[in-house]
Amino acid sequence: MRDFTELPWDIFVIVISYLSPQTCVRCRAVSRQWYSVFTSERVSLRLLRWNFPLCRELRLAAAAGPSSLSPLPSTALRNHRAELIDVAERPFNWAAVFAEVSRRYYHLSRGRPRVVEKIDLAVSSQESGSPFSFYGVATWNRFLRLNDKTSSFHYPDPVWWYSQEDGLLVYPAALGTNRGAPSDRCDGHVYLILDPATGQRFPVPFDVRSKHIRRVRLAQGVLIFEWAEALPYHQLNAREFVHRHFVTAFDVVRHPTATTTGPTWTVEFRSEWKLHFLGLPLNRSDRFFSAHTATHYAVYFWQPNRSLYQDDPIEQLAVWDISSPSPYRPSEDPRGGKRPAVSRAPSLPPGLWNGQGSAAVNQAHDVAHSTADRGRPRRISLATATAGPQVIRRMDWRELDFYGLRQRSTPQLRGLALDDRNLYVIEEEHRWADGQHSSLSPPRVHLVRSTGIPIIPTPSSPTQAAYPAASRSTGDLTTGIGQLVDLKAPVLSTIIDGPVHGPIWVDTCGADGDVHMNFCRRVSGPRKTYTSVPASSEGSLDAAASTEHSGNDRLPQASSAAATGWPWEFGDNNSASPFSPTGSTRWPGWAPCWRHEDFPYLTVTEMVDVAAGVRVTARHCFMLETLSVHVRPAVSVLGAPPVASDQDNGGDTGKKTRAKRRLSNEKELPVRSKEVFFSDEMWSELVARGHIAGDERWVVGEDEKGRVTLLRF
Amino acid sequence: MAPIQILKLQNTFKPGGKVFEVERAAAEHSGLVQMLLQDFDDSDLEAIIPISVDVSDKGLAKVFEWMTHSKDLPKTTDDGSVRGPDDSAVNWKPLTFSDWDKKFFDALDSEALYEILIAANYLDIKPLYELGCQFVANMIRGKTTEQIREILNITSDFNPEEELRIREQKALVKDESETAEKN
Repeated sequence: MRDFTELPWDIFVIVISYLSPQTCVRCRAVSRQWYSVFTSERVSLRLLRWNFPLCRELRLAAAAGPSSLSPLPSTALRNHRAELIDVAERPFNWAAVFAEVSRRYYHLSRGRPRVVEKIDLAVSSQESGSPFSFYGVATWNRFLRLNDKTSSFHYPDPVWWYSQEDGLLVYPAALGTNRGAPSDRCDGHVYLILDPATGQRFPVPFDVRSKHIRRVRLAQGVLIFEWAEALPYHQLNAREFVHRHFVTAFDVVRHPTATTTGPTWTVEFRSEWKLHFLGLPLNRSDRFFSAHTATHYAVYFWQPNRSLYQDDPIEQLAVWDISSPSPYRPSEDPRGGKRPAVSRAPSLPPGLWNGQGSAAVNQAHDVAHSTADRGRPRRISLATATAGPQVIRRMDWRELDFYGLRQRSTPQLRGLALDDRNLYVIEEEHRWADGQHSSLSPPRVHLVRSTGIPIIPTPSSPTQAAYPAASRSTGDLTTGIGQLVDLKAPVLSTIIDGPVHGPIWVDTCGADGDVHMNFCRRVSGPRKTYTSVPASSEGSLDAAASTEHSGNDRLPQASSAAATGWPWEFGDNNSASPFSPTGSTRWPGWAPCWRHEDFPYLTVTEMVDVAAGVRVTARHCFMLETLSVHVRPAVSVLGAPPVASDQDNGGDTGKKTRAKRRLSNEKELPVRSKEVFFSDEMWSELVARGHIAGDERWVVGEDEKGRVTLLRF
Repeated sequence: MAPIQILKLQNTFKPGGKVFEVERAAAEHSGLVQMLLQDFDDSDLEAIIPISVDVSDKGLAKVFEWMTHSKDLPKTTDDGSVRGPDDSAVNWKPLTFSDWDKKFFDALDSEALYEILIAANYLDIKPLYELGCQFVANMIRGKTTEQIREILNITSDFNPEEELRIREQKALVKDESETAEKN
């Protein structure tokens, strides 16, 4: 008697190509023979490649493969590399991975989380003596109003942050929970880092006592706290006090588990710098927005002008190179006397608001008043001069005006973003925006714009590369970073050559809103291209899109690729790290037209795992709110047999998707690119604070009770 | 000389195989036969054509039954194009089970089905091959393990501990899809 599993391999493979992943996993339990066949690496890997070609595990394995590890070090982030080393040392058990991934996508494609975890957050109180105070930066006074209904347009920053690059959540843990003993918390280390993959938690050695946390953000292995001292530093006027503001950066480092016995993650102090030379009052009107990467930090300040004769707000923008660690903490050294070296960038105007300018003033102060320093010439080597965070670019209102980015009293700024060369300023204006800061001349419908300014010099000159990183290190903190790239060359270049100047990038999505009310001109065309493979089908994609556009799009397209693709689809090809195995957010240079992709719904927030093609978006339309998940179709090989992912349950998926897309071009959507919707209560569970994050494995949000909700798939 | 109309095929895998007589139009479903017809003169093909595949004569008879019944259907050629009875190009259409096909496959036990698949694979009969694979997949698709065992006539040879362990391993996937099916 012949068994099914004894069929010749090519027949067997065709049969299982018709089966859904769930059935394939179930087949393991039929008999021993079936178990051994269906858990074999050959079958599991093939099924995985067919059904989930973009899943994280396959991408990691591909990147960790012997052929691809060599080109990685130059661009990959350190934590990626550590993870890849892990994968290379201990290859996946593909049978287990297939079961896990099919379970993940089963839940993901139905909008039903497998597990819902709740994480209690520390209660923030701004009163003095409170163990934890989060004094978030105010949002713009803008909201949406249509007839009698209003809706939020901006949401305040969350007290937690999820880094997609690192797969880590940083959050202030509730006192007396999780870590148990209250003695743990006496050191003020309220913030914890959670690795949802392992469930391990690590304390962040950051004392939050006597501080107001203004913002927390973890990106590319660098954790940043923007904070103010609890006690005011000086009095600004009769009513306002200024608090000194600092930024503290930590390296969150992943260690390959195979080579070290210690914890997987460690958090190490990198550097600290003064956010603003005078400090900022803690109020609802002085605002700052920031972004950072592993090497750079950018901040934009918007402060009301307190002058009697000026109405326009004070606007400033600054970019730091934070790649070099420094043990110096300006917050512990109010007079600046302990600063290791005074670094003055010769070509930069010594702006007073710059932290280093302040240090220079302090130095003069020291020289006048301290005899100890007198007579000892301060020799500044290049190494010490460039240690620690350095301002590489400052822009006042004139330069912002030049770039068309001056916000004045009707700000449109939504946020900043950085990549390895440019700073992006993302602006947004809406027809229905109302409130103190809303525009007096609103756009026709909804305008989103991204302006990219070259900021970061290219480390190209061989003379710059000649300075080895180690010689400039101020301690052993550099060793990790120094190995990665020669990060210092850009700083030197800025000091020697002055700031980078170059053409700016502007991308606008203006929603010219034709008769179909397709708010975004990018929406109409490329829907059909979901089934194509981004890397190999660019030609056909352009062709499809141009035929689509020929009928209704009269605007000349500056760049066909720019005009026809979903920004996040093109992220695969254009992202700064194309082979980034753990994915990244979409390229910030594309105007965020996802905001209005589904008129009249406005996308509040979204989670995009570009590399996996998974997207969870939260949209609302005044009273209506939906949370939907979008899994990009899993087609890996041209000419491969049709992927049979949902065939067993194909009959009832229709029932599961409670709502349909409201776009008029619904028919154009391929069956597999349709969205599924989460259940109604998920909005208040996940999007109550207007922020979600995550990747294909989980989505992180905050619920109405102020707890972090972690949906696992 | 009129082109040969009846082909004689014999399975020589085991001695004493039956000689099957198949109409040329039916046999042309097979890529193997198509190539023979191209490569040899008709006079060479009047003799018995030996084939060698590990399938019983009963299984082969079923294959030839299907071929004879479907002789007027468009045929897939080795360059991938689909040709109608008069050798004109036909647009490829996804295969569907006709009523006859359904009856044909339903009447088979799993052993015969596997034999047909193997023979169809050997003779390179694309439509039969694909229909057969789909039919096998349909037997497994969306079924519980117990149902699969029943349909394919398999007895579980796990001991209770193993059974429990495997059940735990696949618990989440299985339970979810089963509840989904019930809904």
